[in-house]
Amino acid sequence: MEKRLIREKLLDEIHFSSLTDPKFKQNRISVNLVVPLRRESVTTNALIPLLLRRGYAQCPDFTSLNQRLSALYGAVLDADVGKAGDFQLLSLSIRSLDDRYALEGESVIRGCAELLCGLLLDPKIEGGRFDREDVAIECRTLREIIQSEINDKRTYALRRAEEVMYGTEACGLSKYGYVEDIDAITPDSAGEAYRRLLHTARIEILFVGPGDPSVAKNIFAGAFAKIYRDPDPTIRMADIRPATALKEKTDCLEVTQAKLVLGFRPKSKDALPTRDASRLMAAIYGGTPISRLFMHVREEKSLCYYCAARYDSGKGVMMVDSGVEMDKVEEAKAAILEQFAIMQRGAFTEDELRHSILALQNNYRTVPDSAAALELCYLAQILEGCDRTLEEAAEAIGRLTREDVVQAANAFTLDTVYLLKGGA
Amino acid sequence: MQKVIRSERLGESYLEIDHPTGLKILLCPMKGYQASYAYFATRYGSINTCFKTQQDADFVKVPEGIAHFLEHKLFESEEGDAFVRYAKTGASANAYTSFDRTAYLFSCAGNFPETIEILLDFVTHPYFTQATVEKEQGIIGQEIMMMDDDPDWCVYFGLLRALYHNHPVRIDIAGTRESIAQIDADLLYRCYRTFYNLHNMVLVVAGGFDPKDVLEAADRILKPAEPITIQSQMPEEPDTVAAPRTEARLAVSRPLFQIGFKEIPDPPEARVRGDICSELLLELICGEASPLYGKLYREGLINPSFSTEVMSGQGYLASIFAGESDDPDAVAEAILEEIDRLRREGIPEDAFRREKKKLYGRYVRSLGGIESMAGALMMSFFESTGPYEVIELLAGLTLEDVEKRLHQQLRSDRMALSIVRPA
Repeated sequence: MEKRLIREKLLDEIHFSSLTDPKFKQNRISVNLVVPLRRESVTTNALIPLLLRRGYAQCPDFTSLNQRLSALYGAVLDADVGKAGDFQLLSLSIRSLDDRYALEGESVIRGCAELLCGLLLDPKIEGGRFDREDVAIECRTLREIIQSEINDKRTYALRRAEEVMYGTEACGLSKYGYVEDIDAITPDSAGEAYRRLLHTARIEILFVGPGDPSVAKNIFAGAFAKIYRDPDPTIRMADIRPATALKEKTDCLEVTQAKLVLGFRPKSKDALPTRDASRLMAAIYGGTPISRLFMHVREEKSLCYYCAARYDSGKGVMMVDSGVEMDKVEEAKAAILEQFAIMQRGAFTEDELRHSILALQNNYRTVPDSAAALELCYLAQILEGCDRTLEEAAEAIGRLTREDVVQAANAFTLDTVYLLKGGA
Repeated sequence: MQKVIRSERLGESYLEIDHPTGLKILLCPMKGYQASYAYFATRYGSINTCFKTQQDADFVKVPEGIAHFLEHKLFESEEGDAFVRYAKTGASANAYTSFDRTAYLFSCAGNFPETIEILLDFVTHPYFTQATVEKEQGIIGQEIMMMDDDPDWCVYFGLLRALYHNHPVRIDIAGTRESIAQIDADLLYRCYRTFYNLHNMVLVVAGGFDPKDVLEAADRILKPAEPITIQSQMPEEPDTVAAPRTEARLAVSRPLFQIGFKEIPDPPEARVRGDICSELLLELICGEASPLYGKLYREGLINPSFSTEVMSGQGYLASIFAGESDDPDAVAEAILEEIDRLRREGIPEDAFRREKKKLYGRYVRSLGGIESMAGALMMSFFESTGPYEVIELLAGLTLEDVEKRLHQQLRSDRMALSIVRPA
């Protein structure tokens, strides 16, 4: 029986959501700060999770903090930056062993919740300023994170394609911000950004595990009650925007295999496809090993090693990405578009429809067995303003028809063609 | 024959079955889980390039990358693609090849009896023709090209080639475009007949399934295999490194490095314990909670990408420190100094206790997922140490064990440095 997520309001725009299931061996707690993506704040905001990860009153330096984590049975502390639609997502999360398995009978869950809460609300700030050395160190880390995006060519090509596709829209901003803005960050400006985040962000706290969530909830509720808040009530999922004139862009890098990315957006605002139908359409088109792109572009024509379509529900777009030999780029592009035309004509088989539904349903029904997947999935649902169980989501997919899929395919049009190729 | 293996500490158990066909079956039904995760795996990977069975007169040498090629090809049969068959049940399926094993896997949240049947059936029914082999050469050629652009992969194999003179762990798992061009259907069948003998394989399932469904499917589909003795010939490998240093250039933002120490491999029965000792040791030297990590991070010599790894298998064992740095040589020097210091001053008792707790916590936690439980069970077949034994090994580890390891390993004259610099 699927366990339900319990969502409670702690304060204005601060929610605590928990899912308790005794079968897991670990508890996961995450605090997610949601703020609008803006060019002027995106870089400094991205630095904040890194700075918070340096330590807090009880563990004032990096090494003592990491020693505390080891003592909490190897608790894993992640400081991360994400993007959801037009919003930047700043997260601190911790996961560790449930109290049942502690060797010395200690409460790991309490230790983890206190540590996470301390990092977020009691950081190393004096006179409104972060520590100068910490700021210098983490500015360098942030610079290296941004610069190293180029190392993974598949992800890099997808991100570049998004930049081209979104142009000046907020969702086109890089989640980590911009190297050229890092030098201007000071201990004061970082302190100011931190305070603004605490005052205005929408805050979503999630708990998934076998332990008692009220231990964590009470710690957070008590600590947040002391914080001044003036939250921005407009932080809700953004509008889905339609395609504009076709954009094409080619970048050159020292690579042996080219990366071709095609971005699709809805044709018009008035005929937006539903998320479920878009998801299913992308699955039939290129989301599974029996999809049209996999079977016809990769297997039949051996044009690329990977060729996949993915629907991004946060932005209402579909991206197709592929790794192709340089001299086969045009051929691959034509084959990818030919398969899309087939989707639009509805010329896929009954089996393809039925089997893709089964694959998506299997995905939903596998989620409740992984604490990590549950956290990810429910956070996305909360941000989308969607309140249904995973079984309800699976059933909704099961009700979709061929007409829904064809309609979704016809609602999309090619918006961006991006190519990363070798040579100068 | 069926045995129940229990852990008092966790209050859990799994079943170990010696199936009459020769296959080892390990089943862990997990309460409260709906989905199931399965592996059907063989002790056969990229390092098995020269082998014979008790029936062969001579060793045969096969092209590099053939185990991985065979994995791709098994998905095809006269009845069509295995993915198409899986699609009817909704299962999510995949496979991978590593240095010493090939594993076929699926996860499913329904239609378990049908899905396990597909797995057992397609892996035991090879079907290759010259035409399908040639087509695969194109697809895998693309995969190899993609890996050529992957800096993490390049710096890793750069290190393995620097550490090993002859051992096949130095060759890319997928082979090269040239080596896979030599593969034909006959060679594939020869490898298949040798390594896909059920006596050389394991079937593992963890999750919300009924063990009866697995045993019924096994009884129905599998045919008894003749007992087999496989000898894999490994070339003579000196204790020294092949090259102390190797560099390459790729489109990266800053240098990537891997610092590796070539170690004397533990005997197979002591491998898991040895690996755990080494993992703990690497954490103590430069894990996140170590003084050295804090220092290098503060000085900007490493960033959050820094990690440590112990890799081991038949005839190889290496301790690895990896990351990104503008000055990899300075990182290597600092690590060597720290190793020396710990040898002189000893490992602090509290640091040992803390890092042991960390490893213990992470391992126990991992057994709460169907995928990682299935993975731990599969490991137990390859390494002859069960998941519950690993927990007890961890709980019983002493400071002396780790100190002894520190004095035997991490020798500066067996170190190699691999760097990938910006093009």
